[in-house]
Amino acid sequence: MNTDHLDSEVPDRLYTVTGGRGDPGGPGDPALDSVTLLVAESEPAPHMQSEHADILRLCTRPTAVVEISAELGLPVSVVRILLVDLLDTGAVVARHPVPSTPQEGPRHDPDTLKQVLLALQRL
Amino acid sequence: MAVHLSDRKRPLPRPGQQALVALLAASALTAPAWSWVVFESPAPVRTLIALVGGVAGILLCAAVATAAHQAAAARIARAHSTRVSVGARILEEEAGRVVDALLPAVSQAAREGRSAQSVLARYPRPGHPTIDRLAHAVTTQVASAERRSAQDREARAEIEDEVTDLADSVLPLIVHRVRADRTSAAETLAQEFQDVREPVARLRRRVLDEILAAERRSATALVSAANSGARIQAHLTTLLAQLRDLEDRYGDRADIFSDLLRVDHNVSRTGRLADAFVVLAQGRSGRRWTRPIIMESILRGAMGRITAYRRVRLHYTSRVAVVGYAAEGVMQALAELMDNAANFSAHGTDVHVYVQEEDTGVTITVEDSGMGMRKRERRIAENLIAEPRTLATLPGIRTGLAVVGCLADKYGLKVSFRPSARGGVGVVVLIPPNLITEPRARVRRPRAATAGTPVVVVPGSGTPGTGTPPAGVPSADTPAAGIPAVGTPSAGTPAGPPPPARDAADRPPLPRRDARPGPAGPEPSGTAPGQPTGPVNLPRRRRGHTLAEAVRENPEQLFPTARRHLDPQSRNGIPTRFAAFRDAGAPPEENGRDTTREGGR
Repeated sequence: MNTDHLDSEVPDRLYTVTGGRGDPGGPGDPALDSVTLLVAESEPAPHMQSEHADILRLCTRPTAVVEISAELGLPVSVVRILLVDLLDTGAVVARHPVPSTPQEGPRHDPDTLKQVLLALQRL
Repeated sequence: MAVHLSDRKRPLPRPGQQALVALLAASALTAPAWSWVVFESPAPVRTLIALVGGVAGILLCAAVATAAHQAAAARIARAHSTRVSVGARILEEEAGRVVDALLPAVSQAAREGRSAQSVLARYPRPGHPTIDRLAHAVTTQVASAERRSAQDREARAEIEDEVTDLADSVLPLIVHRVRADRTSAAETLAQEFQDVREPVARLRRRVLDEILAAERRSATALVSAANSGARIQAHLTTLLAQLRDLEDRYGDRADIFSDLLRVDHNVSRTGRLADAFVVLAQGRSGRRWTRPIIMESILRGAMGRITAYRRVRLHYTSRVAVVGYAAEGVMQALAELMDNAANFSAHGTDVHVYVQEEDTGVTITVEDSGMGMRKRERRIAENLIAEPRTLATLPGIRTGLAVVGCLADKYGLKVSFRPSARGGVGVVVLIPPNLITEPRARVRRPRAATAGTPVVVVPGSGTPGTGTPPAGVPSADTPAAGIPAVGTPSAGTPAGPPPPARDAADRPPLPRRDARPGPAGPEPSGTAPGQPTGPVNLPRRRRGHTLAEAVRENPEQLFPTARRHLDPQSRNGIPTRFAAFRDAGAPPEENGRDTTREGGR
């Protein structure tokens, strides 16, 4: 609740940014979670919605969904919807975090992690 | 003596004279006869004969005198009777002439407006004095009646003229003047009025009083309508601000979020209705933006207020902005036009909105593929645009175009209608160049941690301004010169060099009111948001919040400098430090990239 809300406030409501969609749903990438990294595959085009163009500029380096959300000052749901649009046109690609599957077993030993934590706390 | 005596030749002898003459004549005959008889008679009877003869003679003389008297009286009576019958005939004839000829002629003359005396002069004067007097009296009466009637006719014509004048020119003048300056109208009009007859003046006074009263009532109604509308607007603005907070908070929960968006849309639609109401009540526009609003936001802000916003397709590449004070009005007008377009076209069809930059400003075209407008509808629509209406003078129950008309009049927008290539109507709104400006770089501040999601704090989102140091690695030790902005993490952070606006570099800028060397120059104004150059000590509040709330939330904004001295390690410094930490780890070109992004807005 900061006072520069006054200056950052914009007249467009979020549902106009998403074109009326409140839920990414649909054919988009259902696995697009908060920490998925995204990389732009193309340059922003002039006819693009400004948020799409912003995302493309932001994602020249791999950027997480939450980071985009923070940068644009938009809720994560809105960013997800925008990203689904871009993913559908192939303007960005998603790099999912490598899942730790039960077959392979945990990649990191919990004991080791605990030791590291304790060591850090002792610092 | 009423008897006409002109025809008498010789005066008749009076009966007394006649009788005397007859008596003398009889006496003259009788006396010698008696004397002779007495003288001739024998003496012894002489006395008797004298006595009898004398008596007989006297009786004879008396009889003759009586007969003569009676004869004379009879003659006189006969003559008198003749005279009377002649007079009666004359009287009858003249009366008939007066009744049959003179009176109709006089009344005819009176009807035709001629003088009754002249008519009387043309006719022979009646012989009978009574008739003569009668004719004179009647003529005088008719003449005076005629004079009175002429005066009355004249007065009636004058009153008719005055009433006609009142209806045709004075009343429109009164209405116009009362509308124009309602308080002083009564006095000035009273001085300007021409003198008229009393009844008309009374009528005029009464009408003026009624018009003034009606105008006062209408003005009061408008003001109270505008006040209630403004209150509704304030509530809705608060509601929208709260919704935006909720949307930020539940941004990662898709189910709640989509519900919130639906509520948001409904509140925005209600807001448009309240806005229209206030505009028609001649109130002030609901919100005022403190900075230019870019065209994309204008279009989306307008589109978000209508029911069928999903059917609106925006086509724009323009990156110009509308000056803050006019942005709300332009959005309202566009919203009404988009709503009309959506309402008057089939549900499955799209409403297309095009933006074009021209030398004369920026045109926004709203096209639908509906039924189009007939000539009469179009004339009504153009009339609504040309003559701004209020709630009191609204010609019908439809308010959309009346709102557009009011706003066009207020901000100098030009609105025209034409057939659309898509079959429906195309409405072209020309925003004049004095309302167009360069967009100010948008402040992208990270959302507050209330969202409950990890927040990466990024510097460099300040706006370009003169006096900021060139790009480098900003640190916590280089706060903005001057008084720090109130409690904003990014506001105190100096920005990189102002990047050339991407679009401005692509094409020559329009001639604008605040024409600047658009490409590559840093904005000369140091009044970029969040970076006040002067001692701006006024507390600032968020829209939809009262000042008291704003001060309660952030008391230090009342005493920013003192607070900063007392608490240099306040939490305000921490995000800046994090930002510095992050930037230090980034390669140098990232700064440029970030700011380019900002400049692109």
